[in-house]
Amino acid sequence: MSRPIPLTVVQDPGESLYAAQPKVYPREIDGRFARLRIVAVFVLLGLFYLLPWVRWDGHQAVLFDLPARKFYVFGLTFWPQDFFWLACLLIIAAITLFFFTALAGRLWCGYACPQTVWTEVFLWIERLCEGRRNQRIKLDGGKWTREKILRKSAKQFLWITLSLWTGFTFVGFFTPILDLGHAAASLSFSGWEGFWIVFYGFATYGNAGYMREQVCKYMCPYARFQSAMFDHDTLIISYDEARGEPRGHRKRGVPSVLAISALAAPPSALDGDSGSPSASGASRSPPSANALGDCIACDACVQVCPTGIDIRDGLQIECIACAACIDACDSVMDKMAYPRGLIRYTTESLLSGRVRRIVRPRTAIYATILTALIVAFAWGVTHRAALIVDVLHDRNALYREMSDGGIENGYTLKLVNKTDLVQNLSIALEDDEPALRIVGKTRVTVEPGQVANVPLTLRADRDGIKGRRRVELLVRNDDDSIHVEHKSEFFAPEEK
Amino acid sequence: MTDDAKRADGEDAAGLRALRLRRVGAVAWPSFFAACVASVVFFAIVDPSELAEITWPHLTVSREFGYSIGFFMFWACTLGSSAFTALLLSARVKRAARERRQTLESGQ
Repeated sequence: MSRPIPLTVVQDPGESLYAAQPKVYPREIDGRFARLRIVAVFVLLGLFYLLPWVRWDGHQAVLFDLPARKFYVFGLTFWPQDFFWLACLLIIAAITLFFFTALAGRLWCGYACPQTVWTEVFLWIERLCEGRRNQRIKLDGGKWTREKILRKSAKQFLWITLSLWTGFTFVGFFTPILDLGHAAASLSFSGWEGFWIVFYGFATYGNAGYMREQVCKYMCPYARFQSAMFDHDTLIISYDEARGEPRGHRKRGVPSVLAISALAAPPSALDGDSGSPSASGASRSPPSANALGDCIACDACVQVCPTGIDIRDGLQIECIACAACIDACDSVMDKMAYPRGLIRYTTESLLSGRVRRIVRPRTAIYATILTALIVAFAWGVTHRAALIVDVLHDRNALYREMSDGGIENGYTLKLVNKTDLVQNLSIALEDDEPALRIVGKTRVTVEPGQVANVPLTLRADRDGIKGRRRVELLVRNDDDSIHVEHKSEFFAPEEK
Repeated sequence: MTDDAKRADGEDAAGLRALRLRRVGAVAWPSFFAACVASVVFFAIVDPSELAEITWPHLTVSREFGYSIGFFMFWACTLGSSAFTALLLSARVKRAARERRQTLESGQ
């Protein structure tokens, strides 16, 4: 009797690091949330593909003109010196993401992430060329027939065309897209433009065509840390285990456990937000005669899942909250004449029978920071200085001694005209410094959107100034609508 | 070897391939993102053509070229750093794989 006990390590393939993941063939689904995603795809990709072609005041409406180092966003022009506002905008975007994640979970992942949006379009193309889910599985499993080659080539052709167009549009945000279009027509891209079109196109092709859910599961850092924004009141997609289990096939006409429990106990558990009935938390009467819950084990929720998980196993890191399983389950519940919502948007609080709080410290703090930042940004951007003045002291020599004993300092004035008008500017010394004067011209004209480098010399008479002296330069236009002061320093030898 | 162990071996080979690919992705993507952010911040302040003037004035470097090499330099740094981290952590993963195989083989 010394036979070893047969032992094998049981690992859930979904969790195992070693299991080679089978290819996911998401089944097509129609429903409330699928339609919402289609709207999101059209709005977001529509913006992406069309925005570079929109004109505004004679220039491209949205152009991050890298070669010229100027950003146009409709009527606003940003300069490298305005980088602060760009950083502010990025912080606003991040806090917005945190706010909506705390409120409604992975909204970004399910509806707005470029990975999701482009994958959706690539799936449409795949469906167009290779058919529905079962046809695609059959096609991939079958031999290389003429039909398979034709279908696969058609798909590749459309994928590659869309990818290249995507790359072209992407580069069109950084170099004027009309010029780029002309260059494309004659195939005369500059080397780097061509390179970035192919680079971005290839990234789109690989990510949306092949990597798909793998990006969300194994590569995306946001997927890992977004749980930091979650709490008990964050919207999640959840399977109502209390109502659904034990799952199993059944004949038509078996009533829902909800109908039975409603007879036994008057409506006690109604989810606050969705109004969908729930058997969770509150008491549930003994299950129906055949002891089955409302889940009919049709696996529709698994087949539609783009990341290939089973939502009935509970909240998982792979779930991108696309709500395809809700649509699938709702349509099955409709067919069974069961109430919808076996899989639904809910929160941990609701699932455990408590009330959902929308206003809570977390959302309140995010909302406050967000509002403050947006107000500061709007005020700051509309009140930006129309003229940037930089005064650079001569790098090579602190001062020059003239033959008559006077001292000269050389400077370069960098004037950036951020307005759309020609500016006639005058340069003067701010405080009445009798010992100092400007040598040379004090009037300069700067074209709209141009940078002028103006050499400037300050001169002190013999023994007028010793050591270091603060000077303040004033640059203004004729009607004084532009009035910029800038401090610099004047150097002279110390007293001997 | 039991059938279980044989199957596990085959699974391990395919699984390790998948794991390696995934590791490439997990190194490439976040480092790409970090390099993008670094490039944006750096080139918002530094004009590549001015940088070229004070470094190799005898070479003609267009701004596009400057941005591109700047980006790839940043990416090389972040990619290298992420790859080293992956390398240092991978010893643990390999040990786990070995232990799993041993457990399966001792099951006969």
